[in-house]
Amino acid sequence: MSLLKTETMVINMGPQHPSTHGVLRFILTTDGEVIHSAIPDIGYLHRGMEKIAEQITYHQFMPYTDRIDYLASMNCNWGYALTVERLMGIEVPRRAEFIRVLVGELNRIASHLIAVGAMGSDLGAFTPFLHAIREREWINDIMEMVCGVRLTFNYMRIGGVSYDLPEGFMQNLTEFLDYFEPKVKQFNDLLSYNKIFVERTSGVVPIPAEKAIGFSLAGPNLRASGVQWDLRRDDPYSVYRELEFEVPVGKGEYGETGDCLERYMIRINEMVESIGIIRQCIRMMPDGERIAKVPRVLKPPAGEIYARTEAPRGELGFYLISDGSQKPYRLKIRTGSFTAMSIIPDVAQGCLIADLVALIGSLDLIAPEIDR
Amino acid sequence: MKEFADIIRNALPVFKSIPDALYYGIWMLLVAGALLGVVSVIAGITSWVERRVAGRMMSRFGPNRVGPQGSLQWIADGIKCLLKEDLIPALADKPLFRLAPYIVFAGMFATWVVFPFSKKIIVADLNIGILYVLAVSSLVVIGILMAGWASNNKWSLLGAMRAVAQIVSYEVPSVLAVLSVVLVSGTLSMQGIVEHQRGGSGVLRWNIFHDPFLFIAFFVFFIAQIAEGNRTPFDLPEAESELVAGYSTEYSGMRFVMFYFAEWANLFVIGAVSSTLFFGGWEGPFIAGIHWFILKSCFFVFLLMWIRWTLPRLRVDQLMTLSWKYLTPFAFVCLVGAAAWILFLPDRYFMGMLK
Amino acid sequence: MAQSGFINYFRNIYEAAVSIAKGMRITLKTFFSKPVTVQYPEENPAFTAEEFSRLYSGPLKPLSGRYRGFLTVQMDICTACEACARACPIACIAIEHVKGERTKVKSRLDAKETPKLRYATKFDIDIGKCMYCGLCVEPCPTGAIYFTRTFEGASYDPGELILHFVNEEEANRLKEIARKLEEDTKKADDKGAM
Repeated sequence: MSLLKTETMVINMGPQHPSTHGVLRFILTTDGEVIHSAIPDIGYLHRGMEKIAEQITYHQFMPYTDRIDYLASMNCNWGYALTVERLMGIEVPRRAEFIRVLVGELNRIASHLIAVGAMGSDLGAFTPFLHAIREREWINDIMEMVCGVRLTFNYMRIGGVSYDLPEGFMQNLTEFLDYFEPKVKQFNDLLSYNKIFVERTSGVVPIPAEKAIGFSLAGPNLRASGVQWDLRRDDPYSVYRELEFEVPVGKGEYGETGDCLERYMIRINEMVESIGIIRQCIRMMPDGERIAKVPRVLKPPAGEIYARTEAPRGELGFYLISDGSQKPYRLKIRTGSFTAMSIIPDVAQGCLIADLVALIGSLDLIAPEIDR
Repeated sequence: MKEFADIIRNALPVFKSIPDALYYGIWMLLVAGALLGVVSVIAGITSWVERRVAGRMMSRFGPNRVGPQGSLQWIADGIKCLLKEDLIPALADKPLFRLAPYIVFAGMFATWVVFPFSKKIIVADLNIGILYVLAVSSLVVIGILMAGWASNNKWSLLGAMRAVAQIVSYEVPSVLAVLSVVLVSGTLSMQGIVEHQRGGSGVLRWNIFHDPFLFIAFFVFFIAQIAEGNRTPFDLPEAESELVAGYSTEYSGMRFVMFYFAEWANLFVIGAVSSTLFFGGWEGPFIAGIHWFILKSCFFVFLLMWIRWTLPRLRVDQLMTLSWKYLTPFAFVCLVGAAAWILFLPDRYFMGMLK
Repeated sequence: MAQSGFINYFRNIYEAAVSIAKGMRITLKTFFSKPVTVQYPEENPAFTAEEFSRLYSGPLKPLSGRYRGFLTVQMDICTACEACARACPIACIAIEHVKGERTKVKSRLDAKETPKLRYATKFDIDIGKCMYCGLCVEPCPTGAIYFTRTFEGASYDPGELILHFVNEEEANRLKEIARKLEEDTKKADDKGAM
């Protein structure tokens, strides 16, 4: 056997490849199909967002937060607004809080639709992706009704939201929710319970709970590994204390705890939970102001603060240092996809290239969050 | 087609003065050219149908701007590909690189010779019909391996090797299932197999209803043929949305289109062979003829597209497991079972209930 | 163990067949239902709701009332306060102003009246740079700058993407008025001094 010389191949899974996760690059060292090492190379979408934050005022940075994670714009806006409000001690009116929860959860549904659809499309099932996008188009229409654009909303302001809900919004939203609930079941029949899909993802790269915590995974990735941690329940912000909802946690019912299928099913279950939360918000929506009285020129007191929210892709944290002037001294953004990307070199050893694709799809990476 | 050649020769005495070899040689070239035209048009139209079907299954239209309902889209795409630059990588093995797409196309094209379109329309009724089809369609393996090797690209080589493993493994259950049909029909010739299914008011004598073993053999054969044709759920070698385009990565322009021409025309081949072997060929209720053959083949083409746009793809080791652990044992069981059936219940059809 | 392996084998086949059949039924149902595509440019979302619903029957809606298309400015009620230029995060609005006659202008959105002392002689918005965030629309005291429903603006020349809202002769006229006003005030000052 020593006469047979085998070499490992170095393959570049380059920044241009037909995947829907953005510009990611991996340098794989493989022995045939089995991967020995997978080193990520990031920075292809770096736009210097944190540096830009030091040049413009607090109000002006809000559109930039849209572009941290463009599929979950509302949640990114919310995280930033929350940080500045906490630093300044601004109290947001109750109606604005409920509107924020409503659009935040709606955006969570939209983001998870893309996540599960993209995972299916990576594995070769192109139709469920298009079906997911078809449902998401209605959500885009609802968002357009509220704030005027379909993707990078720039809807929240420091102290509240920028527009109040228009006429006919609640009716449109209720119609959508009634239409969407049976569609989740249809999507499950098409993709989630399909034997081929289950074979491709069940038992593939299980991430144990200690490793997930050690690598600072957050969001659905962490909960799939069996860790009970959801910021909406355990470190509540806004009006989540008053809302009732379940938090899906992985129990290993579809394979092993923390495998790709578990992460996928957690997202499907979270979509169903979000529908429940939105219905509660519609019922409990109070009257009131849409924005608190915030000075046009914001000068927060000097100090630092770290505030975190539960974005669809994990924990979105903003660390803000203010020196008392109009512009931040330093703004650091902590995103969920960055830590999810950092776990890949550790867990990808020994799996096949096809499994790596399933892993990347199930971790729900998105390049702008990694590079900011 | 030889009868037509003889009829024309007898009718026009001027042709009798041409020596035999020259006359039949020119006739063969003409028929081959006509068949090439037919195959190309079928491949182009299949590409248009595939895009429309895929679109409708995804709640969108397919191409509907070029020509009525987009039916000239494939001509526009073909012209565009002809006008593209012919890129050959610098370190590629040039003769092999140039030859590979044509071998893949030839391997698929040569199977059209024995298709029984109707009682009279068949290019050559070889008495080893179905054996010839299985043998010649394996030529694509050589073409794919040449394409992968000559591209001088690690991705292509990976894709090509996967493709070879896949096609060679799925030949086994495919051939065994065909053998069951040959046992029951008693002949290898394609027209002979169709003749064996004649009568019974056009439907009851079909091979698929002959006995339960042939019923299972049809599904084994169909799944194996999907894998031979590199279609989802078995399209690891080519449409890897994981990596790039597999063995055809380095190809551009018309050479690239050749691979896909072969794939689309292969859809019709799978339909034709399945309908001949199991569904009665050109036989059908009321009037038998070429229309039943075309209809059945088109139904199978639609079925293949339907399967493609629903299912995700299998991983390479799952693919191998499916072939060796699931399909091959079932194919053996079908072969032995069909042999036992015709031994104990000869001259019966429709699950042994009718004589 | 061998027994359970045997049962597993057939259960795998059964599960595969059932789940694939379910999936294929859904695709077939979608195949026979109406596509949801909006066939632009015949069915343009920029049409009004009645016209759009005449041409397109599906779940998608045309552009909403708050849609953020290209920006436009109503120069007669613009007070050249430059609040929009200061609010823009990427500095794509360029304004120059001169003094002029004091008037009152009515806001576009409500019944407020704002005094107008300054007149803009240059009001350029670079639509190619603009990110349609809306931070300029909010601080405008009269609602002069607002979003339209135009979104089709592709052009061959990036220079065409800079919208000029004050043309040259208007700018010259305003500069002329401003110059005259300054002369008059100087004369009045000189007279007063004497």
